Amino acid sequence: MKSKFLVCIVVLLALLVVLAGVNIFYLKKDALRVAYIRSPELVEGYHGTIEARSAFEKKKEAMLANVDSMGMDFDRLRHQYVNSAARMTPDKRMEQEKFLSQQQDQFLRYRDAIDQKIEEEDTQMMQEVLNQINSYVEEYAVKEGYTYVLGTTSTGSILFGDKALDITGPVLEGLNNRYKGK
Amino acid sequence: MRAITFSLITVLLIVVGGCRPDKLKIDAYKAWIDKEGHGLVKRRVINGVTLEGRFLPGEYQAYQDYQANPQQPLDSVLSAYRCGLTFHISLQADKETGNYRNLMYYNTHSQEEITGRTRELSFNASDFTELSYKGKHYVPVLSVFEGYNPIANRISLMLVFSVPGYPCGTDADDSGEFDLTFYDPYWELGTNHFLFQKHDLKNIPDLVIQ
Repeated sequence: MKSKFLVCIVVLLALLVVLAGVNIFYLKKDALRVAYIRSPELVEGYHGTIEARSAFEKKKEAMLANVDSMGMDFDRLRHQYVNSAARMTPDKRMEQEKFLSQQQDQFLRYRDAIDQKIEEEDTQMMQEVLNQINSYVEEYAVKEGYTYVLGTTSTGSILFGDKALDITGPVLEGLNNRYKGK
Repeated sequence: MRAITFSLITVLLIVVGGCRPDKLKIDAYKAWIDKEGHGLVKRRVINGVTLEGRFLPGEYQAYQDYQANPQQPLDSVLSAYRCGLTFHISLQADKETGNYRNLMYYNTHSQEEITGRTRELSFNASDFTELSYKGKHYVPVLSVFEGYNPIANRISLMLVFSVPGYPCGTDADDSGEFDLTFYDPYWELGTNHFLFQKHDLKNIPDLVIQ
């Protein structure tokens, strides 16, 4: 009789353990998993950003060198005019001034176009980098089972986050490995 | 005793699992080279676009060529492909959803732009692809734009490089990595590196060509 009672207790306990396990499993499965990333650090530490920025700076320098060279040409023309204007006839002076004005307009238009092109290329470069980062973060979140991944920004969208929820390090490491092509 | 037996079985399983077969018939061969774990295919998804870099073994290309024209001597076909270092780059996106429903037309505004894009992809692959090996950079010696597949919404390119450090894959040196780089010119996917270990490129099972 006593042994039957003991068996019943053991079976009941075993059932309770199984039920508790199942509950924990489902609770865990349904629980929201949230993490955050320090976005500026992620973007700045990403090798893709560093390399893209370096390539962009070289391109920008070459474009600005053309603007500088055109500017110097214009300055030379202007100096020539200033030095020789006193010896010119009024008609010749007017002709030269008209020519200089055209040259100046042309130079300013070119400089504006280059500025605009630099801005466009900068935006595109950052967009490409952000596309890579965002796609990787999405992939990482799905793989690791996160429901939300929040991003801290310099404008302070998250005022506080427990350091245990900060996944900047592993995401950056994975992102850089991905960038290298591993 | 039981622990020793268990350990031996585990070691045996690891060894058997890690071994590569010596020779494979075409279907098994294709499956083997397609498996990402074997290091010949590298994939990633950016903005819903799957980018894939793939090494194409010379034997496999020879097989395809030989199948298309079985009259030619097999040995000469094999030797023609043995020394090339050939890679394949493809971009593929869902044609029903997302921003890339037509990769060929993406971000184009006129027929001239599409024509220009086709010309660039066909003839100027060296502007947006390169291979790096042991600090040196190589541009493709041959490139083929395989075109746009509208059914799959896929664009693909085949690139052949000539690298002195890869003398037909016969050298004893297994070290180093080949970094295939794709500087995306049109799709806003940025610079993409695909890293291949030389060891993986040299350790591919032989293909049984029948």
